[in-house]
Amino acid sequence: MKTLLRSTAVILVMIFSFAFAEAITVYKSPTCGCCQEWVGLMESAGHSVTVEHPVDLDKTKQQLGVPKALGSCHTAVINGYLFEGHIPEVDIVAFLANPPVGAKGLAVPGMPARSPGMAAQGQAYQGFKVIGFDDQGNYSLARQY
Amino acid sequence: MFGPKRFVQACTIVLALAGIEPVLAAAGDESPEDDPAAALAAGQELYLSAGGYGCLVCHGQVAHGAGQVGGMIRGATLAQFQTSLEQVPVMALLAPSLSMTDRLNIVEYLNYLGDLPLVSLTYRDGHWQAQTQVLQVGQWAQLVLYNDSFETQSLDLAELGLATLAVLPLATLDILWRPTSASFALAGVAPIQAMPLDLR
Repeated sequence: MKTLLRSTAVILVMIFSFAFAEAITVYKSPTCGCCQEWVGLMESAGHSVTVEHPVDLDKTKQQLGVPKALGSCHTAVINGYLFEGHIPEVDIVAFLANPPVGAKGLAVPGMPARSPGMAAQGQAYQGFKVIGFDDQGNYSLARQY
Repeated sequence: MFGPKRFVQACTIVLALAGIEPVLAAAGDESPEDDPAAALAAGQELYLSAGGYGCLVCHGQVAHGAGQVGGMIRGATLAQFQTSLEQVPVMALLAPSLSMTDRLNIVEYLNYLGDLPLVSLTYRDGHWQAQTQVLQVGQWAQLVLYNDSFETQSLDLAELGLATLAVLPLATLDILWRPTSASFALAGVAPIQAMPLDLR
């Protein structure tokens, strides 16, 4: 019975993920390898990713409205929302399925060692927070790993 | 002035460029800045902006680690920097964008930071906690305050001869400070711990 439930859950998650497959634009630096690793994870999950290498990445982040305190190496834009840094794909999908009122996006500040795109293959994600932010400068905890 | 650090750096360049005429390596276009202040400023600028995201993303605002993947690199040598650029995969792509002058300037800044004892004050789980390196009376040190909460937090620093500071949510503040004693206690701060060499 447990196996059946687990299988059903896995199938539902897969259907859910692909039903919410998104077109993603990622702004990154050509000198950043871990950004590319994160892009690969998003593509593996079924999303279509367009990579941009702006001349001034910092200025691009400012223009997009990424809070300075939440900065990381790359910024993804999906459906007008911002996703800064090494956010697990599952959290992005969950956010897009039900965006909080006034929400502007999610962020994983900095470069946590065991975040997607940084962690070794098969290594569990841990030791970082996924932080929600809105257009009023408020932050909230979306998930703790 | 050509101090001991410059001498070590110059020697390291020669080793790194093994096979190339040492005099040329030190005196050619790739030579370090002659003006230490300019080198320091250029190094800081690069630290904050290299690659479009800056070294701070992996090492913290003032190279103090900040719990990020790269850890604390205050006082890193040119040899260590070169090795990382060659051997650490996430840094290898950055290497071609940094000239030898850029690398020397960054190391100059890291050495400057390495000479500043660090006091780390972090607001987490409802209270401030502190870690400190060994302080010398009258020698400049650096205070780094990080607010790991979603509300602005204030800290009374009168004991240190400084004004109360307000730190915005998830923000980091760094300030220079000249201690008047080798140890201190702050109201509302957990007992101060000696700082490990690497903050990761």
